Amino acid sequence: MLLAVAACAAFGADGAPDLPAGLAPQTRPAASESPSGPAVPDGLVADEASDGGPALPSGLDGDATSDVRADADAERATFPLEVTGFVEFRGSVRTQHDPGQRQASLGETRLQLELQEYVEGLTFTVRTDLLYDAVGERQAIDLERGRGWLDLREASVAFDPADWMSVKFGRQILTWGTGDLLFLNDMFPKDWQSFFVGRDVEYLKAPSDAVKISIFTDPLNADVVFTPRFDPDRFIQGRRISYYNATLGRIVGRGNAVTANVPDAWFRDAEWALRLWRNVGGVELAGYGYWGRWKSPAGQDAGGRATFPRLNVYGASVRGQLGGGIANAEAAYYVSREDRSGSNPLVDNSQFRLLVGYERDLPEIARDLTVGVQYYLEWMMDHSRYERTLPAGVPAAEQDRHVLTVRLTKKLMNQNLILSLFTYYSPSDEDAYLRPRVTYKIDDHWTVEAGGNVFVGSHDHTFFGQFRRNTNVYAALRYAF
Amino acid sequence: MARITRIRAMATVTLAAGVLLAAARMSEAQDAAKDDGAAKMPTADEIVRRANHTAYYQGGNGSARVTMSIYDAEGNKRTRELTILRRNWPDEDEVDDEMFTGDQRFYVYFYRPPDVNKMSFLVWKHPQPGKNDDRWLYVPDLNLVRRISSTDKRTSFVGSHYYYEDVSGRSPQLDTHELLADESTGKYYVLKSTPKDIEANKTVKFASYKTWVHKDTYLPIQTSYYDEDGTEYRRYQVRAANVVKTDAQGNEVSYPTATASRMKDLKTGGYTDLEYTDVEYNLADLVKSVFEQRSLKNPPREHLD
Repeated sequence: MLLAVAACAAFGADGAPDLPAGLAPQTRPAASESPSGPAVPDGLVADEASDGGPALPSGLDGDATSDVRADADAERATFPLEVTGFVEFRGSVRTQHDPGQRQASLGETRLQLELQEYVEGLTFTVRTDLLYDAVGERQAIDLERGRGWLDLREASVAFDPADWMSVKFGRQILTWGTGDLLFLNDMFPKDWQSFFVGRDVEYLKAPSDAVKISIFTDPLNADVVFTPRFDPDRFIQGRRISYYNATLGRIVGRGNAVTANVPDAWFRDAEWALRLWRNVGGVELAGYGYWGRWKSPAGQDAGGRATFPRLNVYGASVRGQLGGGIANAEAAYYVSREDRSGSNPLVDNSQFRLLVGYERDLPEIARDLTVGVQYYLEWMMDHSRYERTLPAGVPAAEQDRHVLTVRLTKKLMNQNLILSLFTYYSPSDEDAYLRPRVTYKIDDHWTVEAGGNVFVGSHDHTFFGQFRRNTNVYAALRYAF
Repeated sequence: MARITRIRAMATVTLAAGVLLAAARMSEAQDAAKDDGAAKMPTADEIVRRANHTAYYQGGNGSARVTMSIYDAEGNKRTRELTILRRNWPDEDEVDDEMFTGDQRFYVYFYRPPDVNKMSFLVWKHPQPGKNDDRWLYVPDLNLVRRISSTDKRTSFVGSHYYYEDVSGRSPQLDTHELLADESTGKYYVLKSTPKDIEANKTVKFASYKTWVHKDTYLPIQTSYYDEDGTEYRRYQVRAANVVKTDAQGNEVSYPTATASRMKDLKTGGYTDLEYTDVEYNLADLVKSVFEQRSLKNPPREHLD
């Protein structure tokens, strides 16, 4: 209060320049009329002496400091917050009967704790989920596959050996590439089961146990990721999500879970991933390389077990502004090293993958409305050899798999209510996958969410069609701290 | 290493030049304010230029800790805590002299609420008409760097009543500015600004806005937005300010700075309060590389606390 008075006095005495003749104040602008809404706080008393215009804020008379302080200031957040995380209750249920599965697909209580410590130039991060799941079978903890009551999402140490270099060592989530829920050059492990069953999209990314070295230079930046032991996707195994089994020729569930032969020798089954990138005037260019294995089963051994044959991927991407939106294009060449000619029926053929995308907000139609579209092509190399060597009775995949995606996002109520719909549609496979979702942020801590995973298809063997008995709806309540 | 050191040295030199220039401008502005008798009333464009400089371009760079309190029409409160780092791009001494309409880069790091903790945001601001800003958002849970569409600069910044444009500055070149002499007072210049091209700015939603610019400091104290009927529907008001003194190679420069402000939606009654603490300018170590994409995944820890 005193400060404000002092401020006014100071300005009066200071002799603010006199207005030239004919410019004497006339009417007070609307702004200075008694404000409606919240009471004017201490220190901002209405400036009765004012000759018009808004009251001068405190602090403009020299050294007087602001007397408007947030109560939050007393307990302000530090960098980083010591412990963060959330508790979440999430359930999902099938909307149709599946003879191979339980009706509920998910019923879990999850506690995520994240601890970050910064000591002598080293950043230690541990993020772990403790969960109780009423639906899944009781399983021993398997940190590689994310089974059991503990899922270690991150356990890493990061440091910068030089200004131009960063290193992150340990368990971490890794992502790159330009696709929106489509991955061409991102060969880091995914958890498709979590994605389809109704978990938060965060869980689509499974952790890698790796070393990531990033190098930043003017002409080019580089990221090199070395995974000393093969980290496969947390792929669909039939335990919660029914799938098409080509050997049996039908959709199967828990009774016919995939048995996989996962290569797990340290160093011999290592993976290398490389990204070279630079930004040219806001346009992001990147080149990629990967030397490892197919991340989800892409073959069969003599015993009928799913295999992860050797794979190299070479690709490139570009992303930048175009016509008021964001355009991206990405290509990748998948070299299936154990079947270079495409004639081995037990190993997937090489592929060429292409993605073109565009995203834009549409203020012309509505505020906070964003639309993203993508076209994706998966072109199987040596398709004629594939068809020739395909065992009798097994339905053939098309040479070209075309997928279109559309993402619609609309935010309402100060962005606290978010409606979104992500749709995959494949005209060549005649199948589709829809992900409607509604999220409401009740306050700074509580979020409630509901959504669905809707699979549509005319054939049992196509990518999304095989999952149609898994169509589910889910709901979740989360408290974050 | 040698290369990095050289870049740092260069940055320091250019920064220092920027600071000196800013100091010169500052005193020039104050002199002008003190001297302007009847004959020396600055033009509207001159006021806009200085006000825009004071509000968005002071110093070669700056940093502030921001607490945002968002109140909806029902009085429910939500908060955001963040750090904003800013650097003029290129350095200030290279900025177009006529108007402060040069590029800038912003890096924003979020602490709270928990669902945005560790999220970071990078903006390369291109205020020239017809150009869109480059924006990236880093989502830590997915380790994902998303590119964000920026057609609509008048969309809410992180759910608050402030728009992106309010936070980073609307280009003065988009509007025609008129000094309302009969509304200007001993303390304020009052400016009326009207979008130049209503058709091209269909999404703008306002017919005009008025700004009360403090004569002594050129700090905009209030901005009121009016619809076609001339009704004020949105109001920005500075609630507290501070003159931040920065030492730049022996020269003291003073930057008048808003430290608390409010943006109110007069139709709904909802509003957002911003508080800036730890405001600092001309930080020698706020180097260019902080404003590159690498900072999204590797936060510039020395500037965050």
